[in-house]
Amino acid sequence: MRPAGGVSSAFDLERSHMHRKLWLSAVMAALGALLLVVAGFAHAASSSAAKKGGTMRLNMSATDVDFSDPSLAYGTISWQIEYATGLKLLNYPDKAPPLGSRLQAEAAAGLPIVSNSGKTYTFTIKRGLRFSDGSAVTAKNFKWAFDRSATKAQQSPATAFMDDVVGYTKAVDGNKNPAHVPGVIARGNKLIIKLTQPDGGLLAKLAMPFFQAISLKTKVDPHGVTAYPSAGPYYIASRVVNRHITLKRNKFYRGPRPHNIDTFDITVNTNLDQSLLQVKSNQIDYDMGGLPSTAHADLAKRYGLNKGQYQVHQLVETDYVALNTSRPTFASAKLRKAANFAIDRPAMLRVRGAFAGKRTDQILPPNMRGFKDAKIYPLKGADYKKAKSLAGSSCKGVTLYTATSPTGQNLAQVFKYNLSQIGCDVNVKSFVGFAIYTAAGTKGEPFDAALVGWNQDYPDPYDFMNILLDGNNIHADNNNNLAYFNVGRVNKLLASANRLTGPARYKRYGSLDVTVSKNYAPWASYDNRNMREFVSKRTGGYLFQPANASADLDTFFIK
Amino acid sequence: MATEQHSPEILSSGAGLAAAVAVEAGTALGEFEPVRARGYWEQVWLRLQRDKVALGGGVFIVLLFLGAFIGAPVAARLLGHGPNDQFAGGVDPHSLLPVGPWAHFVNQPYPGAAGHFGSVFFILGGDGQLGRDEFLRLLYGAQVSLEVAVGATVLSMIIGIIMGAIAGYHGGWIDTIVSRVTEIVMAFPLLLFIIALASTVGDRLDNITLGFLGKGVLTLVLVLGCFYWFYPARIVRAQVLSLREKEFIEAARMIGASDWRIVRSHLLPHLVAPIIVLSTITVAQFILLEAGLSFLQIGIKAPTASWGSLLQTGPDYYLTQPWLMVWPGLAILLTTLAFNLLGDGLRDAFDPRSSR
Repeated sequence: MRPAGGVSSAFDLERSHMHRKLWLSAVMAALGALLLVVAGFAHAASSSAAKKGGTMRLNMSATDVDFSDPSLAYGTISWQIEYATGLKLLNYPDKAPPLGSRLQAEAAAGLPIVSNSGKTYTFTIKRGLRFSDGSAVTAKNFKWAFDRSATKAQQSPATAFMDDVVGYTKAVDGNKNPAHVPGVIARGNKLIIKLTQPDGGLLAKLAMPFFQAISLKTKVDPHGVTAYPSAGPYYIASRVVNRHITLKRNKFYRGPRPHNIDTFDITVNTNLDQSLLQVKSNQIDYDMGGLPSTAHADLAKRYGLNKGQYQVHQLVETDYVALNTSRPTFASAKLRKAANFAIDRPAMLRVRGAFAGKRTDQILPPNMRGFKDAKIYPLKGADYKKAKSLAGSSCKGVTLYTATSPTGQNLAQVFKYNLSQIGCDVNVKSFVGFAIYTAAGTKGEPFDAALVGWNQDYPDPYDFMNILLDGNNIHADNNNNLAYFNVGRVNKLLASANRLTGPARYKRYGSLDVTVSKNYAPWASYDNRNMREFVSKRTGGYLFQPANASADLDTFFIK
Repeated sequence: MATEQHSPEILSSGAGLAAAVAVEAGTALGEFEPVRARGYWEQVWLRLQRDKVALGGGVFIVLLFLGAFIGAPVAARLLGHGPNDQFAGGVDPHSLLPVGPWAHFVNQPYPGAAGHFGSVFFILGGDGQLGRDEFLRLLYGAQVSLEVAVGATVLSMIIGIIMGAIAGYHGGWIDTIVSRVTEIVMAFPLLLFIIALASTVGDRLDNITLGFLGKGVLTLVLVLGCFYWFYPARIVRAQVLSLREKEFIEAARMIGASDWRIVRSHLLPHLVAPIIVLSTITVAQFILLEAGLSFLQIGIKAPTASWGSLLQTGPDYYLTQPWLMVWPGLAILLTTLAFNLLGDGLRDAFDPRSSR
């Protein structure tokens, strides 16, 4: 064996291997480049396929938005509109999950500079941003969003989120109109936010519509402004309460977010069944108010599930019966637990129709970080025996608040029937659309139970546990704690959980969810809902925006 | 052999001055049969018997009353469940739509539950996503519809007769006041009033059941009765205005009869016929009105079954389960038709000049 030869031959062999590798690399590189080019073309093609212009006709069946004012709007539908119209410091991109749930800078030039103490955040505002009336967006517009929401007369639900901002709570409690929040400073194109203690959830909170850029011309208005200039891809051009909303494209918007349609004509308080027929026949493009609960099985059969027109997506949401702990009926934890054993969760879910979601007996939704499945109450049906043993003969009259919609009425009938089995006489009172939240959110309102739901404002258990169950958050009105649950020990545990970060935070919240549900039962949770939407044949660009929990209006286009 | 000569037998009508005396001739010439004067009510009944359609309507109404007030509890006992009981099996587990007619299913709390459960039978299928028995709800709904319609009719007739009789008999300024009040009631926006009532004191009123009525029945009876008396009032007033000038009223007045006696004994018997006819038509109107109000969710409160509320859930299933609109729709249609036909028949029967 000649080593040289051998060497030589080995060298040759190695060289030939090298050649082959080089070839392969070149081919792979060429293929990669080709794929990139194709992808680029495909993107360009899809972009060009997203036709610009036109008017889309939408319905909002069985309800109007709660408010269109950015400091007051706090419903899933109003936030769907605010998402299309608002410009925030940070926002969720118009993308499907998981990208659509990740915050990125929008009006801010980048992520903020955070001081070592974690208590000062400095944002730099991009230049060249404009409101729909042509005026420039500056740091002052974000400061105004804070001041406006903190003004007592404005009665904004945003006050529940910013108590860590220096001087915010004091401003809320004061009578200055408009309020001045000293912890938020606008200096040139810099916005400085000072906190009393570090808040790991601040960036997510800033992505809520309350804190979008608000024109200085939009004054404090406790009833809420209806149409106003905004700096997002669209703006609310007109609104006649309970009748009509018009969104128009902001011609001054130069940002990266899609904005294909010129005008959205939204008719409010339409009929669900009629609206479904209109979408089927392309007279209407989409109903923001939802669909009749009886239509889902047929829609899935005819149009397929997530294959185009009919879409079903999981929400980070919990539907529940808030059991008013401040009134004699449900002041006793024993009776609240009895109600939890008595309610027939499968029947409650059935009322919502096919693909409605999953049953639950806990506060946190299963897709929320920290959730721990504890199996506390029966998920497969009512346990009247156990419920009766807990209730005894203590249950008399129960006043239940529900929605006037067919689903709301049916849910009330299930609850009424379930509670009648343990001796409670349920008296049902109905409210149109979001009026139930206004009524039940007023302290002292004479209700014992309310059929309500909560969708995450931002992906953190604080948004469920602290916002909905912290007794320190109970005010005269605009309450989110509809169970009026106020237990000193739990309040302390919630506050301590909020001080934690990382896995420890989620673990603590997960445990708290189980503890509160099991020992105190302020809610009778029954399902985690899916968002089910149906668009017309001519509607292109459907995108379920996960943080927004609904269809993204920005990506819509007419085919 | 001499034939026995019967003298014509003239019987008292039993209907006071309103009775018409009729003497009918024998069927064959030269043959004399005892001739009996038929009473007013007998003649009415004879004329009504000739109207088969009206009789059919009457029979339907009798059967409806029997079905609603006797049949419903019997059916509930035989079927082993009530009209408000909810069943998981009353809803199809896949489509989550109510089961169809003639459905047998096992009374499981949820699909696949372990244990032995009894079976349930739905004759007309489920009523909606709550899985209740449509047949039983239809029967109990008939109870509610009839209670509201008959109750409101009785109340409106009582008020209408009193107001109409007072106005017609006294005339003058009393007539003017009653007539103006009648006009105001006629022009009153009843639907808006009911909506306002429902959203204010409706809950408290609805809870008054007197121990046997469904929730909301008494409210509707009171509201409809108190606002629909104008029609009988106008008819009674017009009748009394013409009757009070008749000789028999003058005669009664001359012998010293009091106003109350004249109205009660001499005027009211003349008003029986128009009141009965008007009542049957009014019952039909009130059945429709109750259905309409319950359809708008301002009538009978759930879970009490009523034809209107049953009809209200129907459109949700018009493509998949159209029969849910058909059953209550048919019940309302046939009942109102029966009352109207009976009313028409009675009007003809009470009229001696009628061709029938």
